[in-house]
Amino acid sequence: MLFNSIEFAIFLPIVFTLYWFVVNKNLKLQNVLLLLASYFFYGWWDWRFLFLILISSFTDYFVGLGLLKESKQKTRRILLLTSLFVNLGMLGFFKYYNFFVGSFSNAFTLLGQHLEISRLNIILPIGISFYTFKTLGYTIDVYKGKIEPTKNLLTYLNFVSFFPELLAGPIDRANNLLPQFDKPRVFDYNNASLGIKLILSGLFKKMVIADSAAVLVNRIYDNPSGYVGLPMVVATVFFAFQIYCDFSGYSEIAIGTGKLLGFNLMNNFNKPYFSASLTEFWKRWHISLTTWFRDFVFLPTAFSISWRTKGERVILLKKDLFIYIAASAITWMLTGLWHGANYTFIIWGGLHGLILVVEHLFRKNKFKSAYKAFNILKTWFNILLTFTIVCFTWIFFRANSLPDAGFIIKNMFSDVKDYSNLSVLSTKFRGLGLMPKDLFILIFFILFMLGMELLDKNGSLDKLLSKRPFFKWSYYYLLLVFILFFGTANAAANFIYFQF
Amino acid sequence: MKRFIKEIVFLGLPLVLWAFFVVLIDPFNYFDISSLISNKLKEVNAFEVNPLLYTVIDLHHNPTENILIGDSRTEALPLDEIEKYSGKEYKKLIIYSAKLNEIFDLIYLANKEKKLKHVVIGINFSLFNEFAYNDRVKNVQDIIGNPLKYIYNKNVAQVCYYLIKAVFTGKGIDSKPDMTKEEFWKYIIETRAYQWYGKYKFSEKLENDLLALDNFAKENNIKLTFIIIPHNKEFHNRLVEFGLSEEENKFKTIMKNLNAEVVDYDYDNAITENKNYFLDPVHYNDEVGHILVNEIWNDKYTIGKKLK
Repeated sequence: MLFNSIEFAIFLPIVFTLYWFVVNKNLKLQNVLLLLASYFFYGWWDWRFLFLILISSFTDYFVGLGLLKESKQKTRRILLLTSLFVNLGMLGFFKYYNFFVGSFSNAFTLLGQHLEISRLNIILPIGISFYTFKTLGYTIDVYKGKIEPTKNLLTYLNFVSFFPELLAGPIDRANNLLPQFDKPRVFDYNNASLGIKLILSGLFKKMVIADSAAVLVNRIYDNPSGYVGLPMVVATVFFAFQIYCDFSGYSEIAIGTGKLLGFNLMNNFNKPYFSASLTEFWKRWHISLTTWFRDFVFLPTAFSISWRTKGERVILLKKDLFIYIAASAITWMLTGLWHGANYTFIIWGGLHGLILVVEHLFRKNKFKSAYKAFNILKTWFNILLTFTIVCFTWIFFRANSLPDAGFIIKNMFSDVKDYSNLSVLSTKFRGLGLMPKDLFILIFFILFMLGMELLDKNGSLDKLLSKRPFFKWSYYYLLLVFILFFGTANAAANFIYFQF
Repeated sequence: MKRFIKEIVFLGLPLVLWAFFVVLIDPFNYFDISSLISNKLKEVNAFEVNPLLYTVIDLHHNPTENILIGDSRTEALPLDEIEKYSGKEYKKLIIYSAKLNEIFDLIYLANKEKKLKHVVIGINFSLFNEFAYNDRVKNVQDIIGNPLKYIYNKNVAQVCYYLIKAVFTGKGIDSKPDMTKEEFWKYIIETRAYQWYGKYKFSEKLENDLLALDNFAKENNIKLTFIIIPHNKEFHNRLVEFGLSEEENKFKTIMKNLNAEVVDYDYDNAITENKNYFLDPVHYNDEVGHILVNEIWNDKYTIGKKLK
């Protein structure tokens, strides 16, 4: 079920009403309702894949209980490996089987051998990357003794399949979400009101900006040779906003829905395009995934390399720097691979890792002037530079193949000489299925969103909305009008991150 | 909780009121139950803002067996004369700036509403371009299937505004051109020609879709007539300047090999060589409309060439 569908608009009020008016006095019944609602929500897409969620949930629930009872390190390790094997096995089969088979076969061809391995017609279960990481995170935290495993099966099943974040995150951590299922929930007006604001803002981002930008981006990236030059630049910038609005829009609806039901889910985005460096960008973009990789891949890898290397220098590099580079390389390759079974994603992850290493090397040489205006100007320059770098890396993320990405990079600035001729420029955009006014309306909405984000510095927008009813209602109605009248033109499209 | 519920109602109330308002005004006659505003006034304003939506809703309520379909260049064919010569009822389905894929979509849609007998399509080489693409018919189909999409549609809101304005001030939509005829002529020759021919790629997909439609018509006993609409020679020369003569010949060869009847008016002839027959380089006037209809529906050709 999509958040931006009529079905969800009927489903959520029904769940809300039953939850707060029918089963509100019994926590267990509330949890049973949530579980049934979550399975119904997921099964609406394809009920057969509910079995995968159940396999993942039961495995980690029993592994967690086993870890609680078991003190022998060897047995504990076997239990952890069981969870890793089941979850990563499922993920590997459904998401990466064809990719690895293809790569293996290509490698043999390069060596002059022909290897025939048949590819399978596999459907990727929606949300598998998200719930497997969530449940894996739980088991690793239990294994490390960071959290107590839950003995309540209903609580655990709800933790894995909680419908607001089941399909595309946030990848919440057990220490945040799990205890919330065991606490009695009291309806809180402020929390619910904030939930409505987040749902409206998320729908605006998804239906008004992301889906409109998708029309232009898809046409150009699916046929790059037909749109050489400026259209490629515009499509790349629009893709930056498409993916941001698509994904952060989903996250906001998820967090807002959670708040309506009395839950506080993990924040996933914090105005990432106002980051002054790539390091800062990754503290603000897909926060739940970044922290997951930091805690469960980067830090253990760095620790493991540190433990295995001896001496002050490794391959001419200082030991600390070598550890950082090696751990970053592994983490960012895996981050790229998590996003999809394609070399474009691996290159995208690799590029981010590389730039982060460069930033790490120069981070100590930050110059700060005594003049405030200079520092502000410098910050804005860095924001623009970071945005440009992020846009460049999005080319690999969005391109259908590596040759396509190469073609776009080679040709995107090949027509700078035409920039002064408006007639020539407008013709380059022919065939997109959009009118020029549609592009300007889209730019207006992007600026509106960025303006709201600037206004929201340190939560000041929320304060303004709660203190001034006029602003609050104006803002709500404005969003509603935008969603209804500018968001309905495009048929409800899937969220991009569902494919991951 | 009470406060929250009150606020949700307060948030939703204008949406409900708006829905009632749209049902009452019904600018495109979607619900076809309100006669508060005259159909004539609705047609003038709604057709100007979104002719496709207006036409498809009309087709949905009054499906027909015989249709005339194309872009603004097909609009000038006189319907009353066609009906007089043929003795049958026809309906015009016009999409401004129509693309060939949209014309095909609309034909299949019309056939779903009522089994078609005769389809007349206004076509030209300029439509046979991979970059001449849009996808508006699908959106209109979505609206037909979902009243909420009609109620909360920006074109519907726009026409509601024009209709209310017209009721109170007597003035509806203002569609006066902002250029003189000469200025517009020059604009079409320079800018429009560049837009149409400056970015051209022969479309195999459109060719396949065209052949599929041709077969579909043959299999379903639908008479298909293509009229290759005349352009003024001055505009045609621009096609030559852009080096597309060979592509145009390829287009006409494809048309020639269809099962359908194809009548060509876009070559050097008494119409295309006379500037007085045109409102602008790509839109012929009513006189030419009469000539075309007279020739095609009476099967007596003096200017038009049957491609076979």
